[in-house]
Amino acid sequence: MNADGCTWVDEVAAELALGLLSGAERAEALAHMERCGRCQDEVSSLTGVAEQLLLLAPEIPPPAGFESRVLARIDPVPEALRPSGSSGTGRSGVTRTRNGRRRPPWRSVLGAVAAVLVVLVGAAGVWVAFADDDNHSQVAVTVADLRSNHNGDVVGQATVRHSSPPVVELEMKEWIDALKAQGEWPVGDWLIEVQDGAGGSAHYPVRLAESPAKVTLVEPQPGSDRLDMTNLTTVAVRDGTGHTWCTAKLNA
Amino acid sequence: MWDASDEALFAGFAMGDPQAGTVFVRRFQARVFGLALVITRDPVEADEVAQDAFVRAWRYAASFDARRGSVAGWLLGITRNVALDNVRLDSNRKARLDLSDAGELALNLAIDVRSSDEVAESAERHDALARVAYSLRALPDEQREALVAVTLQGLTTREYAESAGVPLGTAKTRIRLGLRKLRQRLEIHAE
Repeated sequence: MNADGCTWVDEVAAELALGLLSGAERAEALAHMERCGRCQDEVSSLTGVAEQLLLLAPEIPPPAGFESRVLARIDPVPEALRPSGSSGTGRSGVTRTRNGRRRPPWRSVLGAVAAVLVVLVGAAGVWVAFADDDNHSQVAVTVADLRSNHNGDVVGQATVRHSSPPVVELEMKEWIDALKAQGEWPVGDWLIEVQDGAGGSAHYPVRLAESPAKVTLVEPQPGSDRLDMTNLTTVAVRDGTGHTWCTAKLNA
Repeated sequence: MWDASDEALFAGFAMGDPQAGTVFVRRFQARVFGLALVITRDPVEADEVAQDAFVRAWRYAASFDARRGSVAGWLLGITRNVALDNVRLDSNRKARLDLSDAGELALNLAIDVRSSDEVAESAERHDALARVAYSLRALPDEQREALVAVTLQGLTTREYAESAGVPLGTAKTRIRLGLRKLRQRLEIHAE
């Protein structure tokens, strides 16, 4: 962090938050903020204030047909959810489809089943949705990033359908393929370890050759705890030696 | 669906759910169009800007962070940016802007309407608006005027300085102090 840079950004932070800086000044401020968390927080906080100010905009009904014109321009797959060259950064509640497009996670989870309404977009990397299941009853679905225990990178996604019994689906094929290509993927049996909020843990066999790998949480391995299925907190992927490769926190 | 929270509707809109999308657009269209009109001063352009704002919100839905602010604030922030992109490209903008009326129009409209007890708003939304309105009112006149000019009216810092007849440096100071003071007031009201 550079004190001069901070002083200058501090002076222009309000104008930056309000979108008033010229391109060059803006670029300079952003470059400083990349290296300075304090200035980043300050601008972020002021941006929030600027947005609140906009709540005072007068309400004026738009011309007739406005709503239809907007909806007609909306394609079912948002561009933001399409590949952008980076993956697994920030709010990563999206998955890739075969044709390379990204899509909201609940779609991959639910397949042909219609997702009705997402009721909560939670903390980073975790989404909770409610969806119609095959019997048209509402089931909560949690989608969380699977992160490598080695370096914390997002390597795939875990989806938990909170049905009775719950069903866990893991999508991590690209990561497995990459590790296989490097000769780092061990052959053998794999398990998922599921934990609940009370500290209980249970192990279930999983076939990672399938994508998504699907595990219905019945018949845990001997020695497993009896889980509180209404309060599952983590899903981890372990190899036969007990080494944990990646973990999804369901309540991050 | 009509009672769903802004965040829930937005999530449905983002994933292309037609029903949630319809309700979401209906809920916000007057505010989005209102802001677009205040900034562009042209109903046809405001219509385009408001449409673009919704499309952009849907396209960049993944960048919305509920921990940082409200859906309404975020959507209006997008609207303002789209409107500014449009008007700043417009060489006739100055002719269209009557800078002498800068300041009070939008503010009066907003505050008078929103702080009225007769407004049938949801309590939560009404509270949020009232909090901003009261906090803004508490600022020194020149700081309030500067903030309204550069947000709700879409002026640049330089345009505001010219319209207010003050040096650029003074305009910058008013904006800087005003936004920080507003944050302070909002924090007090939030407690």
